Order: sequence, then C-alpha cells, then structure tokens
Amino acid sequence: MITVHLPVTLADAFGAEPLVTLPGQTLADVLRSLDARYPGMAAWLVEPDGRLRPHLSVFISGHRLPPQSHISVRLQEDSDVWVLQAISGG
Amino acid sequence: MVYLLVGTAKGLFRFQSDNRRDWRALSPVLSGDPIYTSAYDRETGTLYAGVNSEFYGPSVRRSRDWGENWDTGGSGLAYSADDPERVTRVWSIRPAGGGVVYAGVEASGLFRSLDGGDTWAEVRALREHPTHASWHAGYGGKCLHTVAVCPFHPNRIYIACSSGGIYRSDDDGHTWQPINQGIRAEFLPEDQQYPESGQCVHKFWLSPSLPGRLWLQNHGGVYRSDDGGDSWTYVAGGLPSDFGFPIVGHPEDPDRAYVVPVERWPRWAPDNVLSVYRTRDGGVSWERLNRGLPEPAFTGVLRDAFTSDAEEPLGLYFGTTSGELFHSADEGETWQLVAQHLPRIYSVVAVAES
Repeated sequence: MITVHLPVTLADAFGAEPLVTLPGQTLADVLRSLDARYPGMAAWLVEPDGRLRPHLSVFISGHRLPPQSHISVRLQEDSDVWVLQAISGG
Repeated sequence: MVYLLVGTAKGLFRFQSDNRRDWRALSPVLSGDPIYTSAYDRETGTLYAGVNSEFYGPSVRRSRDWGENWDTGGSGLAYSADDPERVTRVWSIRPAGGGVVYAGVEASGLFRSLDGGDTWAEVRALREHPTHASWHAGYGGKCLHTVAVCPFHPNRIYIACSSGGIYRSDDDGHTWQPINQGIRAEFLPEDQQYPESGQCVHKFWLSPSLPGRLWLQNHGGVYRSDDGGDSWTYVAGGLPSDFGFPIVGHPEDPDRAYVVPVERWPRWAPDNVLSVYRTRDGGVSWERLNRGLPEPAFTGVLRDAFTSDAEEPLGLYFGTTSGELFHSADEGETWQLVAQHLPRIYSVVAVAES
C-alpha cells in the first residue's frame, strides 16, 4: 500500500484526512484512487497533460521528483508519497 | 441587507450592512488565494468565487451560506491535454438563470455550465473563430474578463478579452462576430489602429434597461454603443484621461455611467486625485465625484473592482490596488471608507437582499 501525505490546505478543502493509504503501482494510480475518494482532487494536483502542477513539490520515499513530472512515474509497494506546496509567492 | 464580496490577492473579504452606512466586516475566507471574481445567483442562493490558487490551479467554488463553507468546484474547467493553451485563471463568473453559468478564463476562453457549476464545457466556437490568432496577453494576462447575456434577446451573449476585443454571439454561442468597429487599438502602428479584432477592451457594461446600449472602457478610450456593438462612439472628451479599467452603468438610466480615469502610466488617478467621473447625458459631459476620497492617492482601480448595488439612490463601491474599499450611498456625491489595509483588490461585488 502507498502512504500519501497531503498538504493540510488541500485536505481541508476536500474534507480529507491529511494521511491517506491507497493501493497503486504508479503515481497516476494513486491519484485516480484519491480522485475516486475525493472527487475533483486530481485536477487540483495535475494538469490535463498528466504533469504535476508547477508549484507543487512531490517526494517519493525521500526523493524529490523533478518539477512538473509526469504522473506515470512508478512507485514501490510501500512508497511514501509527500505532496507539498512548493516555496512560492510573497 | 447589502453584502459586499471583495476579492483580493489573498482571499475573499466580506462586509454587510442593513443601512448602507454602517458596515460590519465578516471574517476573510478562501484566505491566501487570489480571488479575481465572484458572483451571486439569486435564483439558487449560491455564491460563486473564482479561486486562482498558485498551487492547485483555477476553480469556480460555491457556497450556499454567504461564504462560510465552500465546495471544491465542479469538473471540466480545463482545455484538453493536446490543446496548446491551458486554463490558468478564472476571471469572470456570470450566472444566467436556469442553472446556466458562464466562466471567462485565462488563456482567453469561455466555459458554460448547465447545472449550476457541477460540470463545465468550453464554448468552443469562440476560440475557434478565425480571429483567435489576434488575441494576445496584456499586462494582466490573456484573459476573457467580461461576459454578459442580453436580457432582451437571451440567445445573445457578449464577451470581451484583453487583448482580443469584444465579441457577440446571436445564437447562444454557436457562432461569434468581433464587434470592435470604431474602437481604437492605440498600441498598434498608426495605420493599423482599427483592426477587426485584437483591441484591448478593459471592461464593458450592458444596459438592462435600453436594448443595444453598451458602455466600454478601452485601453485608451471610453465608448458608447446604441446598436449592440455594431458601432461605437468615442465619448471620453470630457475626462482628464481616457484610460482606465472599470466602467459601470446605471441599471435604470441608460445615459448614466461611471468611470475611474487613470493615467496611462503608472496607472494612478490623474494628478493623484482619485475620482469617479459620472455622465448623465450619454457621455457628452462628465463630472468629477471625489468628496470623501483621499488626496493625493497613489493608487488605481482594477477592471472588476468597481460596482453598484442597484438600489435607489444607486450605491457605488470600489476597491483600490492598495487595499482600500470605498462606498457611496448617494450615487457618488459623497464617499466613505469601508475598509483599508486589505490586500490588492481585484473584484468587488455588491448584493442587495431584501
């Protein structure tokens, strides 16, 4: 199972728990499951072309994905996914 | 009761009053996110806000309790994956009755919902118009910022985008025509300043009382149309500057309109005297209305930050780029400060509820 840590602001907007456990072999699988549980959440995280939104920072088991990575990235069975708001704004 | 919905760079601020003199501030909501626009659908009691999150993208979110609680918006407010453009911001929300809601977005395009905002679909014929290549990004972005549905001909829709111009559909959005004839594009070479499209229209206002009457504040030039935009008359002769962003008409008297002139650069009021100007004769003459407004003022008013409440006498409201909110309960004769020290104000909406 994949453990997903959501930003508090995102979790609050959707009435979600900030820590979610989901099945999946890719980040896309995880986002699909998240979207099924919290309709609309995937569109808040991913552009229509399947790339992460530019001001999000995603770590998988401690390693940061390059900005705007495609969500086809593969996960391990016990991956720990952190979704963070990237440093931006003023 | 009058509610004011003030969209800012860092959230939506709300004020209410039952006498239009004493204003009570409610707690800010949607804090931290830029709110370019909001709207209220009287039929359903739904409040809409265009939330342009830097992190999570644009959404049209809804509240049924005057903004205390918000949903996360509907689905479909995006261009397709293979589209060269993306939807990056919501600039305009226009409930049109019967569950129909329009949303104008950046990059300039129009979406329509038939179910109150649960699902959205693009009105594709607009971006498919052959003049689409003439649309560009202005200083604020490439945005479709104004949508109006004609109360006399419900299949007639007007939109404006910056830059791009004003367009009209007479068949519910199936086909569109640019209606920019006579509107000057001062940023083009001298011999090309009256193109079919590509003008930088900053705002237009459609009269609900006189068929065909429109007021338009251009990137240089204030114009009036009496024929649904087929032709335009320049009416800025009596203003200290013909540059500005918002324009507001009077709901009952089609010959009255209000603008906030600014200099071309740095987009402050001329001579730093922040003023609303009013015409009562269709734009032939204009009078300055600034009693109660600060002077000098190094500030401006953005295109959606000026509105009226449709009460009698007409209440006027505007917010500045430096976060002050002003109100007049006597059609601009005198002004009072409602709030200050807010973030940069993008939009002001007034809702009068009996």
